[in-house]
Amino acid sequence: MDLEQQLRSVLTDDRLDVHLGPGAVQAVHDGVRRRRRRNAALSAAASFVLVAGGITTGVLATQGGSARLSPGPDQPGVSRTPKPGAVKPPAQAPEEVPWAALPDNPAKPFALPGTTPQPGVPACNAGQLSLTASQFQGATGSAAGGLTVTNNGATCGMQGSPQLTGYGESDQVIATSQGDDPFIVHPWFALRTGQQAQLPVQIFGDGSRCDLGPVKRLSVEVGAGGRPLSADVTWVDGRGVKPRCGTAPKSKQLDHYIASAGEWTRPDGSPHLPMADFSADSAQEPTTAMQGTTFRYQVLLSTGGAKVSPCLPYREQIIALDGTQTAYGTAYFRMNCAAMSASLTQGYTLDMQLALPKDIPVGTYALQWQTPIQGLGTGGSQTIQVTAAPPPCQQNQLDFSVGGTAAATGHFGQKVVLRNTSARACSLRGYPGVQFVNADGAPMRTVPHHGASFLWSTGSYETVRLAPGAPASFELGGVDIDVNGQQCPVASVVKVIAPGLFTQVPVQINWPYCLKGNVDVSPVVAGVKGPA
Amino acid sequence: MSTDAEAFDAFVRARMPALLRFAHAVTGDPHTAADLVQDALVRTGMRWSRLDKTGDPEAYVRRAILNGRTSRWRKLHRETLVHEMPERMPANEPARHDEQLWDLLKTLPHKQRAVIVLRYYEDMSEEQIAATLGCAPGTVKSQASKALAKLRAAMPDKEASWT
Repeated sequence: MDLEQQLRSVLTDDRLDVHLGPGAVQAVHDGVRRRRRRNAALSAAASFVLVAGGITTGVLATQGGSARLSPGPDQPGVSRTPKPGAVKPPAQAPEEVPWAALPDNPAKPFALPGTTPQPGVPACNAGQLSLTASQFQGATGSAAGGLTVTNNGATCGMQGSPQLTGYGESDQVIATSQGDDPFIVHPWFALRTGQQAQLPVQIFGDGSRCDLGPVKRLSVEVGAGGRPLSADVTWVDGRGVKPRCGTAPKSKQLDHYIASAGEWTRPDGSPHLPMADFSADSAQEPTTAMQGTTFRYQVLLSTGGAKVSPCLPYREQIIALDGTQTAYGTAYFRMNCAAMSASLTQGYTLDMQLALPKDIPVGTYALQWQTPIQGLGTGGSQTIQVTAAPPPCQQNQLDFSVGGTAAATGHFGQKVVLRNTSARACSLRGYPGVQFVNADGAPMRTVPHHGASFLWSTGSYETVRLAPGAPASFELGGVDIDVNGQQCPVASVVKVIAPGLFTQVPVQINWPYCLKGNVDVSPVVAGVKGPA
Repeated sequence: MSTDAEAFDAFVRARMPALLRFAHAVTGDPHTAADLVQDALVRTGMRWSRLDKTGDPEAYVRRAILNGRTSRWRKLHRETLVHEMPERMPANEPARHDEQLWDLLKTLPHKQRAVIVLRYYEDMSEEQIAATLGCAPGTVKSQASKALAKLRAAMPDKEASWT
């Protein structure tokens, strides 16, 4: 049997059958109904109602590192709208917003309206609050429920996403939550005497051992300190909360469940942060990327026609999937809001790029993209394999030659080509050293400038892989008429030091030596693109 | 039920088992498959009236499954933990002669696996696959040949012992 027949046989045999539970079809209808109701609700978060008085509704969506009130990443609109050609697009195509390097300072808190405590209102402390828990029920892959606090004291302020701890049958700790992400901002609101605040909670067990037993009690730390508040929790059947467990291979299973808290809100889901009902999804992620390179991807931002205001910062990073969850390449930028049209579009396709450090360990990673609004982020939809860069090029592997020139209204550009003449791949990263020399062999004053020029737009560089025989190149940029209108003398040779190396190699050129030797120098890039 | 709702219900009942198989083949994991299909069908239901008239709902669902993503949280944690696909579901399933191929399939990159599944399970043409995946037919061709080459190369001493 040939491979193609084998494939047909493997793919059509019954191992692929997935058992369809009796409620599977109904669950789809319920899901549609829930989502409709949710979207129809004036307030985005109002659909989460704690199980109380026999009224149940709402399913938590998780994103952004913890549970949050819906709507989550599944707003109708841009997200997951198939590309034209796949299915006739039900909505207009999202507008593409080019990437721009607009660094954001994460140390400066993002001032989103509704997230600043009101002066004079103290934070609520555990002593003035009492805690109750809703019944938990199944959500996609997790157990979902909620905690409610009642303020028995004077008016105080609630804010944030607290730490949770879950206890098992013999009161041992069997569930813990991750710390709050300092990049995320949370709504602040005043809780008057007798008023309630609620917190959506999810418990995940997919990666955990199955013999942990049910969670019987949850405790939560409230902002202003004091003893953690604690409440008994139950499944809809009255027993403890036991999430789906043991999906991971035995050797990798955790000895606890992961608890995940949303953020405190009023029972009606208010206050609503601006843009909290946006959703984001990533697209065009690469499957592999080499150490030290920059890869591009896209974020599909669904705004439902609302404006991105204030302009949002975002954090991007890739997370090691080796169990350590280490983040690499973390960078903070602001969205290119100036390039977003004011027209009433349903969303945007944001072009993104992420620079991998040159020394990031080889392995499997997941991309994370996150704004300061909880739930408005994306990531982990696929894995990215980081591959090793070849060793740095050695002098004896490289051949230097002159490339093409470019001229434009008084400007002059010269390309220099570096070729790997060896039989082994090697890498170059960074800027070359350059030194002009005149026809008599005398060195001329040379003042290199790194960064953008009239020929290239960025000063950032990547690790360039040179396969055997492959070229890389850099460019020199300057002017061909001096500032005073005089013709410039000629530099007939440029001595080049490849990045990471030490030897000057002369390359014959015909360079208009102007501006007292000031010259723009580009980083080494792959190939011999551009003006050749 | 309105006509729309009836049509959607019929669609779900008729296509769900096949979509589950498809998702299972693509993800290699029945639990993930169930989540993805559920989610994709809900999404489809949300825009059913438009899709039913103007589009190909099944292609839309498949697309949604392929794009389908559970939350970042679950992905990170779950994929951290099951990054190497669980060898297989705990037992009671006798080893099969084509077990190797199935395991190899699961090692293919997402897109290549999707191409293989659409081609050999769904019997789609390159154009149909391209439309479902939202890429050029050329990409389908190259992904398919890469995937086949990888499978061939990875099969230890194979075809003889398998037939």
